[in-house]
Parts: sequence; structure tokens; C-alpha cells
Amino acid sequence: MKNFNTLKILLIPFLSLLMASLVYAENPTHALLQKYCFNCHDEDVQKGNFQLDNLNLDISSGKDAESWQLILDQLNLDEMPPRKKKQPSSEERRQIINYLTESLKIAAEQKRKDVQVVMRRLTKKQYSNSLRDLLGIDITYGKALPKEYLSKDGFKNNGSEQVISLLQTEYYQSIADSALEKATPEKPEPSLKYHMQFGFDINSKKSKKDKPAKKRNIPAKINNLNNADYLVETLQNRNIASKASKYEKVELEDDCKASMRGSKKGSFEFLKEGIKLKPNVPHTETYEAHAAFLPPSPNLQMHLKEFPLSGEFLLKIKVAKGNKKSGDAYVKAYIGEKTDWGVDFEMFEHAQKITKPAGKFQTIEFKGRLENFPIPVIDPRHIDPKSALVIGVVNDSPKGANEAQIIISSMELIINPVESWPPHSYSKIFIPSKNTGNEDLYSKEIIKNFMSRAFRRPVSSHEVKSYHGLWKTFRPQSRSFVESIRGTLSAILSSPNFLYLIEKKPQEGSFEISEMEMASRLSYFLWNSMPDTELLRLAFKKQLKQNLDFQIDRMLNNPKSQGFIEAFTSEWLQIEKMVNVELNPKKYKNYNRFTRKDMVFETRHFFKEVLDKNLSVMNFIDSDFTMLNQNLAQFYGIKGVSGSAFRRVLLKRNPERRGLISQGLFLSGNSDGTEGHPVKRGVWLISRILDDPPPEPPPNVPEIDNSDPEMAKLPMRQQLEKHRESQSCYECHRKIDPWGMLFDNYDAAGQWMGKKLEPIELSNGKSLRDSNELKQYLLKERKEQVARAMTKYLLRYGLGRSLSFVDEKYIDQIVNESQKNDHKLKSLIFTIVKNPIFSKK
Amino acid sequence: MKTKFWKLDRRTFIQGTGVACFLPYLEAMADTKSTIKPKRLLNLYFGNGVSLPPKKYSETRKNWHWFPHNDGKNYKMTKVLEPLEGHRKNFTIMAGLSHPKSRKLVGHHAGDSWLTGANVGNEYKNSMSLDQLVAEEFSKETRHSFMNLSTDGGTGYRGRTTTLAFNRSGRPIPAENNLRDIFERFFVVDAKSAKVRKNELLKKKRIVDLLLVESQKLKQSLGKSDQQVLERHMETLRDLEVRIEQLEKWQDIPLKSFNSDHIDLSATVKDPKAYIKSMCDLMVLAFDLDITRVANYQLCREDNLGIGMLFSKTLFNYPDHHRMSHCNDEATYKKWAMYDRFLSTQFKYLLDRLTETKDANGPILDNTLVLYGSATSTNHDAVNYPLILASGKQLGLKHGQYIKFDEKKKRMSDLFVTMLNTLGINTKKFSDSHGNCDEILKS
Repeated sequence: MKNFNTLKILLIPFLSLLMASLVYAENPTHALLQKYCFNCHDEDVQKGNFQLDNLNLDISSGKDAESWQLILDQLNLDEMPPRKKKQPSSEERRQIINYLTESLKIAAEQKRKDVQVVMRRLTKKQYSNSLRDLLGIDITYGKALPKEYLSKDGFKNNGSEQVISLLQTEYYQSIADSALEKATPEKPEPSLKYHMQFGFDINSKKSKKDKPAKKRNIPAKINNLNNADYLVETLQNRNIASKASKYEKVELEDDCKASMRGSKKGSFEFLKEGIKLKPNVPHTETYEAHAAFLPPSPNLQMHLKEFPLSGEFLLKIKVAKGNKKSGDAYVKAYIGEKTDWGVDFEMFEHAQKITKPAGKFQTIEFKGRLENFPIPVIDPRHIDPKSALVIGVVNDSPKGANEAQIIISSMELIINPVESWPPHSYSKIFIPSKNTGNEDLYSKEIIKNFMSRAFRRPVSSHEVKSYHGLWKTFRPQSRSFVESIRGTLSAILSSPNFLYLIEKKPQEGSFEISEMEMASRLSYFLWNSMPDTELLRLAFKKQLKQNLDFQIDRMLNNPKSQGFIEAFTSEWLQIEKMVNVELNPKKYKNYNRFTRKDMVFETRHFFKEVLDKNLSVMNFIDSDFTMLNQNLAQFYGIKGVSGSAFRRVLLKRNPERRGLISQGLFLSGNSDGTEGHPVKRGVWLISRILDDPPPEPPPNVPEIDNSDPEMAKLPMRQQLEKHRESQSCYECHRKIDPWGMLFDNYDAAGQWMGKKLEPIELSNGKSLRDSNELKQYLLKERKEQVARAMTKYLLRYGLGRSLSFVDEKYIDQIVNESQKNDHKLKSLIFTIVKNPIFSKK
Repeated sequence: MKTKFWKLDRRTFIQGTGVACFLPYLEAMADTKSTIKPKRLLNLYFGNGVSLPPKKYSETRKNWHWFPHNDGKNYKMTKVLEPLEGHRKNFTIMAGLSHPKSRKLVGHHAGDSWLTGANVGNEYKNSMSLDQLVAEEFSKETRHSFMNLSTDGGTGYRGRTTTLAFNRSGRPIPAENNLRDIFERFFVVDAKSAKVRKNELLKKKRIVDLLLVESQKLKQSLGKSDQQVLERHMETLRDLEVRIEQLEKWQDIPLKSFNSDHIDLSATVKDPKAYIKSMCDLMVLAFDLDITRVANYQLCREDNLGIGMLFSKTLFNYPDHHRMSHCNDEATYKKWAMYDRFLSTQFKYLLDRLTETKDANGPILDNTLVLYGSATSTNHDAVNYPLILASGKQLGLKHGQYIKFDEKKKRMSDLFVTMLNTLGINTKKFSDSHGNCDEILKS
């Protein structure tokens, strides 16, 4: 018996091998696979970690279909068999491809029933945006929620990868509580006004210690402003709701100071009517680790010691253009916290233009919410003498021959500005009704209204009843009606009906989602937020699916589509990872701390331009333009771009900046901070642009060991060559590294170095010299792959799931359709949404 | 899955025991011979580094160098750490650790990242501190999730914080410095606010109940895989329910009777010794009563401002702590070291109190990790932090040794990983860690 067992152990692998070859021999296509593939992918050798001879041969049964799909892709791309190996004839190749394609189609139909699409929860961003739309106050609510995990494809909205924890649930409740408190104030917060008037010696009487104006020298370098040169007034209005509303003076002058910290010598001037600031575009502030982190020079700041930690604000700047014969003048503001080494601040994205002629003052306004800016946390019991909220103003006009100067006469910050009472957010919840006198009826109306908006669908009377029941238990325990409502609405915001994109089980045999569900799918796709009334109304009337064209167009034209642009580009292109790569400040002196921000803007503006103008997605490979502002243009060495706003710049003389794939963000983000990194660049390109990601590196493969002194001496390129030499690394790296090495002409900051490169062979034998040739090659020979990749990334994002071979049929349809109009991006989105895949569960 | 079972067990336990004997948690658990012993964390920090006289001042260096001169088990403490000799078996002295992201910073700024390991350089991105992560885990069992103290109070400002605690978003959490306020907040249970709080909890519980019923109904209309997702969500709601029930019970239970006569709440910073003593006493009392299991005390902020750095002047008429830390002459090095010795003496007092105070599992120190140290060494270099990690015998640390870590290979966050694991929080990663410091553990 024992012997027999041993024999069995010995025999089984042999037998199964034998069986395999027998089965393979039966089918001519199988025989071809055996002939051309088994050498490298059988039980003994598994190049690329892939074994073929053990796959289930009944392809149309759907077993191992994912692997068969992979094989089909490799054949279609001409990647396999490798050049150096025996090649099938084109007839043989076609035979295999046709056979696999047909079998997989049958398998897809079989498998559709079993596909597990997993319900997704709102991402942090979607949660914030939904609360914003629901409550009407723009706050980044979800900031404090625990970190999100990325799916294999890089997305945060993939339901099967999302995790939930007790902590997360607790956060949902506390965020909802505080959001509702802000949205439904029972009485207005007192309005605070900090007013600062500037002018040489305008306050001389107050500071007797200072010398008379005529003898006083204005220091060349300045931190805190001399008390004589500005006047402070702080006012408070406590009774906004009443007719007697009036600002009254409060004694807080000492808590409000002016400063020009970080302003360089000669960049400003004190005049009777205000302080004159020279322009500061492009920014040149450096990035070094020890350097003070200051706002652009020159700048004028207001420092406040005591202030509310949240609330709306209105910043009014009285300003005039300082010189007549000059270009346009722009003003920009920022808010932040004074730190030991300068200011930690956030700029307003858009500058405002001065419209009046030189010398004529006008008021420019910036609006926002304090909690959206990096303001200090203060504990009123322990105010640190050095801590301060900083409100700053800069002259955002371009430097140069016709540079515009600006004169700032006053700055005024109003926190909780007086507007109508009650605020809009309050009226959105406490809706007008004839039942306001009857708490029981009115509360029911409020709950029903809020629920159907939060759940993005009509709610049943039963559902309303249970929340109304909750309210009934809250009411006697609450100080006020408003408080009892808040508690109830907070429960609604903690409900899975709000937190998840719920798509109910379709009826037997159907995979179609409902109209209401379609409204949410669409709006979280194109707005990254909840559907608006129009979408919900159409869906309710069951007319949304018939009116998709009009709705998609309307949605993409709405500013909320910025939510899609930001989330999609950031996850598709791994922007969060890119911006975390720190550059070596010693090597890249012209790379300042505004450069990377501008690079992110370049990419987003570029995507937006392609979308808005309905250009071909092939612009991501090669384009005759990019989107630049002066800072970034100068960094790239492109002349003739002036000012801080981004605009379309034609790239006649700068082919190296064409296309998204050679934008600074990806070249610098895929570097090690000192040199460009061909492997990172290669992996990024083939994963994100060609959707052909390499397999995960085997667990035992070490990083290139820079602590080995011999290795560290070599330039990156040679280090990698050494790495590739090893047979186990070679299989994958021959498919990765060449792509990245075509970008060796760009340094770690993404700047073009212009040197000539030796031609490099791709794994399919194609020889290319540099990224410019690569772009032409991709456009000529890989166009469909690029379009397909784009389609798949949009689908993964739009559907919140990964794709499988089951989806191939629809992807084919979309790509074919898209090809008809040269893969225009906006049209592609239309095609995707209108394809059955988008309305299938 | 393990966690789930544990949670179920806890729940059953709570329901079974009822209110009367539910508390004090500690003794109840110990009586039933439960293996769960409450673990605690205390972080004691001082800014401005320590005196490390250079070689040219050989005599002072020999006697007054903060770090001992030989490493390993047979190290010999200089006069600076000498007061701690009696606790030798209860701690490990560590050299060579620091946060890589802070190494190049002006030392002053490194205080902000002592417990976080984050980048607090010019692009300030602070992150959650060690104590807060532990507090999140341990708060389920106690009235307060943490006690965050500092001599200066509040948050200070960026680069010069007066708190050691940072929340999940990396925002500073204000610290408390008024002895009386601290006492009232943590040790006085007033009936009125307890009622308000109870009312709030009741509301929360009703919400969770409703959500659970609603979810159960919703589940029926979903496909199989969606049901699983919803089930996981419901699991967290059930956890929340347990949590609320626990919190609710606290409201009814009076504090264990205690004696606080030994705590001088009228002490002020004018009398540093008395003030520090009272701060330590308050932390020990909180542990004793199991009011919280996480405490921080920042003795002195990292800079030339604030109150804590004047202690050396008030006490001994030396230059202020910050000024001494920039010294270059032998005499000041010695004065600075003598002030370091004063701090060691206060630390000794804390360890004494943690040893004398006992719960059902023995001395409190037995199950408490105490991290003592600074975020800079001499002259505000944010490298080679002077650190002592103390604990009693139950936590499995080797102790009785002085370890010099290799800065190139170990990071302070690696130590945090080992500390977290020691406290029963299993993780392989904290902040920028890339390993652990398990060599301090018993093999």
C-alpha cells in the first residue's frame, strides 16, 4: 500500500501532464498554445509569474476566464510570444485570437449572473460635497474621517476595497452634529469687523515715542509695521437679527497688528494714502528645508490674536493701481497661521483684477469660510503671545517692463458678515409651510423633505414615520424645537441610505438599475456629489434615461463638474502620490514651493480644456498646447506667458512639453527627488496610460540597494541595467524600463535636458529614441490601446468597481463608437453613460 | 475576526455583571482572574535638550554627561541620572533615536513632532500623535480618553507648540495647565452635567437603535454582496451601541472614593518643584482611579518663550533653560546638567508614585509605559534624543540596560511601533516607521 502511494505521488504529476498534452492536442488552437507558450509558462517555468498549462480549457465555462482574457490581451498587443522566441504565423495568431475572443464572449454571458458588484460608500470628498449641496454651506466636512484605501486600479470609490470602522461611524455622527449646528443657528453669531487703515504716519499722534514723520526713516527691511503707519478699528455687531443692528467699537486694537514679514527690500513704499506693493509674479521663494516659509514678497498682513475658529468671512481690500502706464493689476489674498518660520497659508485660487484707472481706489472682495483655511487652533484661556491668524494681500501682477504697482489703503475682515436672517442654510431645512404653528405636523414635513434629499429618492411614509418617531422622543428632552430637529436630521445623515450609494437588487432576470439609482450614479460620476432637484425630478418621472444627452451636457457645464475633474485626475493619475515626492532643493534651486502646486493646476486645467472643448483624448499623448501660468512657463523655459492665471499656451517650439504624459507633475512625481526614475516612469505610463500594469514584484525582490557603495556610485540608468541583468528581474523589467528610459531627457524636476539619447528597444522590438518618438509611436500604433485604457479608467471611476472580462463586450462597443469621432473626451463620456454597462447593476 | 469575538465577549460580560459591580472596572476584572489588565501610557517631555559637555571639558563630561558612558547592562549613570539608580531595573536608556523628518530642522520645531514623527518643516503637515492613537483604543474603557497637560497650557503656535497631542488631522489639542481646573474636570463628577450628558447619550442610543432596525429592513432588498457590506456597517453600529452603553454607565457610577490631600492644588509655577509634583500626582491619581489610561505632560516647551524654561532661573538662579542650551562654556554645561539632574529627580518622584500606587494587578507601573525625554540633544540638534522608557515587570521589557541605536538604521517611530505592540495595539507601522525596536523586549 505504502509503495502504491509513493507511486501515486510520482505518477500524478506525470499523468496530469500527459493528460494536459492529450487534451491540448485535441483542439487545434490548444495545440498552438502548447507549441508557442508552454516553453515559458508551464509547470516548470513561469515567466512573469504566469502558468498556462493548468488553466481550465473549457474557456466558455468562464473558469479561469480572467487569465484567458490576459492571454488574449497579450496576443492582441503583439506582446507575446516575445520577439526572441518562436513566432506563430499571422494566420495562426489570428486563429488563436478568434478562438479566445469567441469563447470568452460566451463565458461573459454565462458569468454575468455571478458578478458581484459591491455597494459603495461615499468617499470623503463625496461625503463633503454631498453635505455641501444638502446644507448649502461649503465646508470640507469629511477632512477628519479616517484615511481611505485605494483599489488596485487606484480608486477610492471602489466598494469592494472600502473599509468601515467604529471610529468612522463615530466621526459620521459628530461631523453631522456640528454641520447641522452650523446650518441651523438659532440666533446669529455676533458679526466682527477688523478694519485697518494704512498710510505713512497716519497714526503718529498715537505713538509719541516715534520720531516725527519727517525725520523717521522707513526701514528697508520690515517685519512688524510701525504703529504710526496704520490705524486699527475693531467693531462688533451683536444684534444682527434685529432692526437695531449696529456695529459698536470694541477694545481689541492690541490684538490686531500689521506686518510685512517676508517683504524684500525695495519691493514696497509708504505713501500718505496707503502702502504701495510691487508685483510678485513669478514667485521665486525657495524650497529649502530650513528656509523661512513666507508668502510671496512683498505682502501686507493683518495679524489677529483673538477670533472665532469657524464662520463665514468677507475680506474687503481698498486698493488702487499705483502707476499709469502699466499692464493689468491683480490682487490676491491668503489666510493662514503665523508660524515660527513664517506663515502657513492657503491662497485664494483666483486673483481679482483692478478695473479702475490708476490712483482711483476701489474695493475688492474675497469670501470664504475660516475653517477651510489653515487657521491656528486657539484655546481662549491660553493665547500664545506669538500665535496669530494671518490675513495677507499680495500684488499678483506680473513683474517686468510694464509692471503694475498697487496701493493698499485699507483692509477689512468681517467675520459672520450681516446678511439676511435667517440664513439660506436654515431655510433649506426649516422650509416654508402653513403648518409652522403645529410642531408635530411641521416636523414631519421637515423630516420628509430632508430625508428625500439626503437619500436621493422619494421616501416611504413608513420611513418618515420612524424618524418622526425619533423626533417625538427627542422633543421633550430638547431645549428647543430647532434642537430636536437637529438631533433627528443627524440620524438621517448617519443612515446607510445617505452614506452608501444603494442600488437595490433588480428583479429576477434583469440587471437594470432604477431611474433614481441612475440619477445618483450619474451625479456622483460627473459631479462627485449628490443629484440636484432636476435630476431627481426627471428620475422620479422616469424620464432621466431618455434625456441623458441633455443632462450630461448640463452637468458637465455646471461648475460642480470640477469635482469630477479633481477626483478623477487625482486617482487615475495618482496625483496624491506624485505631490508627495520631495525634490532635492540643493540640486533644483529654481524649483520653488509654488512649482508643484502649479504643476497640479497644469494637469487639471489641461484635462478640463480637453473636456470642455471636446478634444480627443489623444491629446493626453500629444497635443499642440498645454495650460500654463507665468511661474510654470518660466520653470519650463517657455517665454511670453505673463501673470498668475492659467491659459492655453501653444507649443510650437516646445514639443517636449506636449501631451499630458510629459507634464512636470508626472516626471517629477516619478523621480527619486534627485534623478528621474525610469522604472517609476515606466510603470506609471504602462499602468495609467496603456492600462497594462506589470505584475506586482515578487515579495523577495529587494529595492535597488543604495547602501551598497558600489551600487550607489553608479548612475541610475546603470543601476537599473545591473538590476535587469538578473534573470528573475529581467522578465518584467524588459517590459517596464524601456518606456521610462525614453523620458531620460527630463530631470527629476521634470525639466527638459535636451541631450541626445541612444535608441531603446521596447519589449516588442520597436526601437525608439525618446519621448517625442514615443508619442508618435503611440498615436500611430497604439491608438486603440490608449483609447481603451481611457475608457476603462473612466468606467472604473464612474461605476466604482473594477472591470472584468464580462465587461469586455461593452468596452468594445464604447471604444468602437468613440473611434468614430476620434475619441473626443466629452463624446466618450456621453457614450459611456449611454452604454448599457452604465445602467446595469 | 478575533476582534469581533472579543467584542462580543465584552458585551456579554457587561450585560451579565450589571451596574452594581461593573465598576471599578479594574478590580472587577481582576477578581474574575481575567487576563485583561489595563495598560497605560504616560509621556513626559521637556524641551531644550540635555547637557552633553564636549570632550574638551573632560571632567564635566565625565560626571555630568546626560548619557551614561558605557552601554549595555553594566552602564554607569553619571550624576545627572543618578537619582534614578533605584529604578534601574525599571527602565531602558536609549541613545541615537530621532525623527528623520525633523533631523535637519531648527531644533525648536522638532518639539511639534516628538510624538508624531511627521514633517513639521516648512511645509508643515503634522499628523496624529502616539498618545492619541492609544487613547482612541483605550478610551472605550475609561471616563476620559486622555489627560493632556503642559506647563504652558493651550497649543502654543506652530513650531513652538505647548502640547504634545495632535489629533487625526494633525491639529494640536490644547493642553491644560491649571491644577485646580484639571482636578475639577477629571475628578469631580457633578450631578447636573452628568444628567445633561446622560440625556445626550440616550439620544445617541435611540439613533443607533433606529439605524439598526432600518438597516435590517434595507438588507432584505439588497443583493448578496451588498448585504455583506451593510452587515459590516451594522457591526460597527452594534459596536457603537456597546460604547454608548458603557459611557452611559459611567454617568451613574460615583468615582471610587479617593484621597487627594497629598495633592497641592494651590502650587504655582513660582514654585516649580511643587508644581511639577502636583502635575505628576494628578496623572498618577487618574491612573489609580482608572479615569484615563493615557497622559501627557510637557514640562517645558522647546524654545525661549513660555514658563517651563524659567524653572532653572526660579529654582537655582541659573540662566534660563533655553539660554543654557546654547552654552559653550564648561561652567554653564555643568549648571545645565545640574538642572537636568533636577528633572531626573522629578521623574524619579513620578516613578516612585507609580510604584507605590497599586491596583488589583499590583503596582501601577507594572502595566504602564512611561516615555521620558526631549526632541533635541545639545544645542537644539534634533538628533540623538535623550530618552528613557520605563515600565514595570508585566510589560515584557528587558530593562536595566543602555542601548545606543544606530541613527541610520533606527527611527524614533520604530520605537513607537514596539511601544504600541507592548500596549496590546498590534501594528507594524506608525508614522514613518520602517521597523521596530523589539531589541528592548525580553526575548
